[in-house]
Amino acid sequence: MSLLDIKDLKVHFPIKRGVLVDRTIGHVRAVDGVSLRIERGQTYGLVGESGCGKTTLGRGVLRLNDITDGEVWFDGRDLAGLDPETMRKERKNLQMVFQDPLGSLNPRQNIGSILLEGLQTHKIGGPTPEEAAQLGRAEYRARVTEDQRRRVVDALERVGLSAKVLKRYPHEFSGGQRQRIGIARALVLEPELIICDEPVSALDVSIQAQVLNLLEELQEELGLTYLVIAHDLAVVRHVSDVVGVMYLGSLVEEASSDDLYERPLHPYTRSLMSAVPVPDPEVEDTRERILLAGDLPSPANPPTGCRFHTRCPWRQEELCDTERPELRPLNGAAEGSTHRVACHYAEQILSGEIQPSKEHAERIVQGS
Amino acid sequence: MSSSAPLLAVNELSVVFHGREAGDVRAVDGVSFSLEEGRVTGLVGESGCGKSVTSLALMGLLPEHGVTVGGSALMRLPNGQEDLLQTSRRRMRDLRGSQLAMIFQDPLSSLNPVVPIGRQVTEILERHRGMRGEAARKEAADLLYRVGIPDPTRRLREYPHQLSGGMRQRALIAMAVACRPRLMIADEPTTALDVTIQAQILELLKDLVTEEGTALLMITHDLGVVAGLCDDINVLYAGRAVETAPRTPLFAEPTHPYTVGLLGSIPRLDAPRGEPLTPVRGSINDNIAWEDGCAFAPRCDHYTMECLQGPPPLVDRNGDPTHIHRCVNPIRHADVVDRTVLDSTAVVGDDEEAG
Amino acid sequence: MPTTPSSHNPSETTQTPEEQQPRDVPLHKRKAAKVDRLAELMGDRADDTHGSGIWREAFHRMRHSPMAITGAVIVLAFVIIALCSPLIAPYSPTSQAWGNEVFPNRNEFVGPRAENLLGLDHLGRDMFSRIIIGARQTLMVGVVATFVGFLFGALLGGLAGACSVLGGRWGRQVDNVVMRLIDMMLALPALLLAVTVAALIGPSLTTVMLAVGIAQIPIFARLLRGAMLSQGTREYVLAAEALGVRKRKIALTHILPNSMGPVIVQSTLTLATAIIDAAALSYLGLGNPDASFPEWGTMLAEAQRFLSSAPSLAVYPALGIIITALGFTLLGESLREALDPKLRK
Repeated sequence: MSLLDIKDLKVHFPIKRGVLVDRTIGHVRAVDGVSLRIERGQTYGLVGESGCGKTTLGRGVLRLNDITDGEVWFDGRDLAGLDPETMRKERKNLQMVFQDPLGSLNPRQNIGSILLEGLQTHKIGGPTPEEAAQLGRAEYRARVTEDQRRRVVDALERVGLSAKVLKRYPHEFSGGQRQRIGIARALVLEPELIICDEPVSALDVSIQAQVLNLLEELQEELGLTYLVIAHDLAVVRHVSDVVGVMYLGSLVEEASSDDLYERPLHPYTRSLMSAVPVPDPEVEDTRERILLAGDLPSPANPPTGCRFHTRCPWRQEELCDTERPELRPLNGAAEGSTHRVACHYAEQILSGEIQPSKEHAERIVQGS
Repeated sequence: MSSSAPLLAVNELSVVFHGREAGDVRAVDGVSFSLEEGRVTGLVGESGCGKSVTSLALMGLLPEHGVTVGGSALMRLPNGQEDLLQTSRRRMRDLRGSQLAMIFQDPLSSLNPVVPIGRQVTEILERHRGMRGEAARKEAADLLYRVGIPDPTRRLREYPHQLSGGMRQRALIAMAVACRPRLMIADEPTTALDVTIQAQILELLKDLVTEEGTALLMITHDLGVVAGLCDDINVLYAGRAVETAPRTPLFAEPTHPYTVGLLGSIPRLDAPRGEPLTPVRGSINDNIAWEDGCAFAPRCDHYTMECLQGPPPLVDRNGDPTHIHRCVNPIRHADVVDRTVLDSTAVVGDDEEAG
Repeated sequence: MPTTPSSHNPSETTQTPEEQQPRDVPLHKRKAAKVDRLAELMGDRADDTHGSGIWREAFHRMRHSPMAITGAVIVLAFVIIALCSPLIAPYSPTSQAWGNEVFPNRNEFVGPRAENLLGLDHLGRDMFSRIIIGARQTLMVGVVATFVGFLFGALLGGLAGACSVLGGRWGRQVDNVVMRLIDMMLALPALLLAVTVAALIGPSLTTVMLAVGIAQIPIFARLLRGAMLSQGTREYVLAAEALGVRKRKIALTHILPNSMGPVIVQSTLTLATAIIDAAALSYLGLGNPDASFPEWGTMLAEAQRFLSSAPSLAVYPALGIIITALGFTLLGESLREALDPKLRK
């Protein structure tokens, strides 16, 4: 059984207008029917550009945003159906690492109290119930405090910080250290799943790599499961086992990390991949670049049919603007293939039967 | 004026901020480079390396008080050479826009939110090219069209918030090129943009340089962007250039440990998966004063006693004057392959410890 | 990871730079030497294990600001004078000991002289003693009025803010109702509101304090609510929610403390305006009916009758009010600056 199984998740935000009484005049379809599975111990990477709904999806799983429709099965329970109090308690099993390392730490809390908060909230740590029964109240408290402190120091050391920093405040650290603290805060609860929302995009290049390596080490040591959400395809591909590409609220392609790079099927994935700069002049000079025309359409008023058809260089006259493609394996794919794509013409595009049209792409730059 | 002089020659630029509490901060500490027409020069580094301050100093946009700027920046102008750092503020205002222009990271805050795009473009045309009325409007529409904004006459009437991020950056570029400046400075022009939009903007900048012969100073932290765009690259660290080279040797045979570390930090899309990243350890806060030795030494795996005895000089690599580095123990190319071995010699303590 | 000096790996000997160094020094000694040298150059990076919180840092910054020091000196002097006024004042503020030397109807007033430092007022009372004793009344008016405004304003604003941020749809309704009430209060000019209160419960010092305090409630309420709303969208609140912290606790331990900064700054500024407002109300005759007991505003009101013949009677209490208000304003402004997150390192 998968650790996390999201079925047709929808998160819509109402758009309200009104002078005295707010009326709902429409919905921003931030996440509009996404299904995905994450296996235990795996890293699932979710990639997409700003406004594609990836962050909302991550928060939706934790029910930090209200879910409009769909199911979120976590370890055999449907989180979408839990009452708020049960959900709050459930959060110790699903933790989150945020994008802005400084903004996600309360400036008035010192590191010790930031890390203790989760333990105290969920009453983790302390002697076993049998032992507790024999202890006095004061003694019990002391044991709990001692145990919680040990867990905090443990988590800090795992992320490469020492117990010396417990009394210090967030602004006294560098960006990379703050993100380590954010990771430690998630770790200390010993969660099964950690959702990393743009964990490195606010960091300097060399610090990014340190944090990515740390995440990988922690996964190896603790057997964690990650959902990594990022806009940087290279980062996502580096850390993930499976990558899902999102565009305007839905998944357009899902494949194992290597598969996706070797054989991107969806036109959006192809153009996204072609746009990622590679730090190698030779590669940069020779690779083909598919420059998309225009911008992301508004998620309040998404295009009909395939969401990408307004910018797709491979766009066809039929189906594309009328029917929304399902995420499906390729026709004739091997049994058990994990590569899925939401494009009516994936097979023809792959075989070269359909060529990108010049009028739909802004430009296709051929490598010299 | 001899035509052999570069368009802009920056020599030993230094910028010191005088803080009341923190004391003096040397944000830029002797940076030299030159810009040529039709070429792109890159300043690469992480936050705090002084790359943005360099651009502000060249544009004369640093605050008037509390800052000391040293060195020189000789620019070849139609009527002779002029040092941008000595030019009066008044004259600088004339030069900005007409001779040199700047593109900023955040297009929304660089545009006036209550003035339509068209008005903002024609204003520049009026000020620097003396165009008026219909002619200015026509030229403005033409400019927007040239930078790839569809339906420019309609866009001219719109306000900045009505444009998307990519469109705003295009509008800013249109404003920057309005007077055909001979020098453009782009400070992280694509950092705030999505990667597909970034590709569009980079392509646009590339065209401007090749078609108009503009000199472009590209300031960025992204080595991927640099690899695709820049001809010459300066890697900055703690206010000084640590390695300068044309792009091919810089990426193929980087010699400064910091450059090597930066390249090892970037997950590459085309690298086989599972290849570990080999980042520089520590953070920019772990440094020593350049006067005492190499500022990078605390993060360097190969530092020796020599690195800690006075400022390391800029030397060329094997007599190649285009490839210079500021390192006593530059990496030789056999070593790069053997990085795992080098890693094991790490001596200084834990990562990032030091406030 | 640090390799111990003895266990250096074999590749070390093939490494380039160190080869050039004298061979007679053992490798581990050279290594130790360079580590020591680096540590020495990195110098005073000693780990400060005791971090400093926002307030401590703000205090540190304020110690270097001339504005803050001036403000603090004025405020401190004012408070000391107010508290110790009976000890400082040379005479009783109500004794008309020199009544036979002053004839207001003949425009005969007594200016500063050795025994009366600031001269005599229109009833022959010692002006200096009246100003000193008046400081105490003025301070009490300022503090009590501000406290009233702060307390009720923060309660209402905090309730509205917390409900709006964390209460979902129901909470936003509560917020809506509370804030419309506040808006109604804000729609009344502060002075008019004060006059109304004074009219309801009759003129007295309590009236003035209550009236001025009530007029401040909407300001505090709006300020705290606004701060809480903006803090509510910060990522650390989301992080606390993701951690599973109860909403009530998030409001009390995360949002509220981070929103108090502007409110505290406002209260120092309000102290200044409260003193001025109280003076205005006293001037209008809504203050302490026992005119013999000095209060700066009342004194100013009385002095206006003799403004042409004895302007100094108005000047002294006016100067007192201006300097005190300035002191609190300077202190408040520098506190605002010191707490500004943009200025923190």
